[in-house]
Amino acid sequence: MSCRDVRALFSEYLDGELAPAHARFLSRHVESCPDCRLHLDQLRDTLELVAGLPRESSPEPIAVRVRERLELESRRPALRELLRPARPLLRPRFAPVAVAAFCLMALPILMVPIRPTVPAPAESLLSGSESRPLALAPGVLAPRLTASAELDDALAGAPADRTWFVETVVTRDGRVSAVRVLGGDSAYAAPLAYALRQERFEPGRFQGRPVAVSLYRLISRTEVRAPQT
Amino acid sequence: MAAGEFAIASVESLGAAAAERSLLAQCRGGDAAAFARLVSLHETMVFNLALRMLGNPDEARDVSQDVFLQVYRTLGRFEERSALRTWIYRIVVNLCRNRRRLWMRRKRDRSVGLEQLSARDESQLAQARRGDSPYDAVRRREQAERVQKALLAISFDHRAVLVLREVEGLTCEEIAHSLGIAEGTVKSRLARAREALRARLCTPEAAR
Ligand SMILES: [Zn+2]
Repeated sequence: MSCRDVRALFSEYLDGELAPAHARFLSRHVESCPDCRLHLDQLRDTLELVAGLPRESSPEPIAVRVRERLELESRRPALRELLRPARPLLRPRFAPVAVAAFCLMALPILMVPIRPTVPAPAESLLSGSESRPLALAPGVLAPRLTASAELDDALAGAPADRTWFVETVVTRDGRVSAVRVLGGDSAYAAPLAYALRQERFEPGRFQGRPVAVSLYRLISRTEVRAPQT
Repeated sequence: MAAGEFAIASVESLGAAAAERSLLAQCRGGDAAAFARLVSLHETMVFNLALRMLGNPDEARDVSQDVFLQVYRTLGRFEERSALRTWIYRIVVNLCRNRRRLWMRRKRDRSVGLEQLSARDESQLAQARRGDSPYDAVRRREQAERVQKALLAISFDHRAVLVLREVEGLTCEEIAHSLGIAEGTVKSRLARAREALRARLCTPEAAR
């Protein structure tokens, strides 16, 4: 058996999965071969290092975020309804609806911020921090887009009839801190989230101070022709 | 509260597998408190697996949230022949893979991820290891960073088996369940993954 063959068995050897005869052979080889001994020691050290990686905790409690998300969804029975066709979203019950089309690498994506009818935030509940963003309630000034996203190749390749219903949180410094794709073809969720995270906003405001705002948006690919040249 | 104590005692006496089944049944029945318990039971392992797979705490937190939302929405489809844990691991790995694919295209993840990881590590290590000398804390942090960096440098599939095995302590059979591959494949992949990481960490040329 060459050193190379011996080393190929180290992983099973360390797991104690080699047959006793093989294991004995390996031990004897390692005792007499300094190179293989070094290799085996390094392998052991490597595994110890990985196993010794510190157990970290999440920057925010995940259980709380999950619960808030599920509560939010259950409090919005209209959500499912919203997810079906793109058109009914534009009905007056969701007014005022601001419509903005952005040209992203010549492939415009239509983004419709949705203003659900939410009561004005009570002062006591109000925080407007990134972990507790405000909804677009009366009195909350909506964030204004200042830099749009670059369209990911994967997203650019999405069929034109796709729409997604997305929640983004725009932070107090105008960045997009969280993107949740709540509805639509999940195959594009990752590139979509990536694209939206590149957006920059003039932050939302409440009573004059910048606040983190949760934006619900309907995003659709629109059929466009490339500009004639 | 006598009634409360009785309920807790009876759940514990069921044994882990039965307790899990009863928790799952409660979750499926729409019991929000039961689902919250399920999340808190698995939150640390989900977050740490995602963290080791992605190297970035904020991304790991987002993935962890998505994992539990997916667990919640697909609980009805979970087959109880396998442990809940292995099923959750599978969701974590899949969601990390999706996110990673995107990153690979962008090629800008590593430096950002590691900077963020080290910034957070610093304060946490300082808290967690007050008994250590500052030198030890720094050394540990640097070592963890070095290992994480090496993990990110090997392939996604290699990293997945390695983390599931060495960090999460799964058996090869459990890993096979989690990843939906044959046990033999797990073993050969594990051998290659261990060697790839050894080469990264132990040979000076590969380290840079
Ligand atoms: Zn040898």
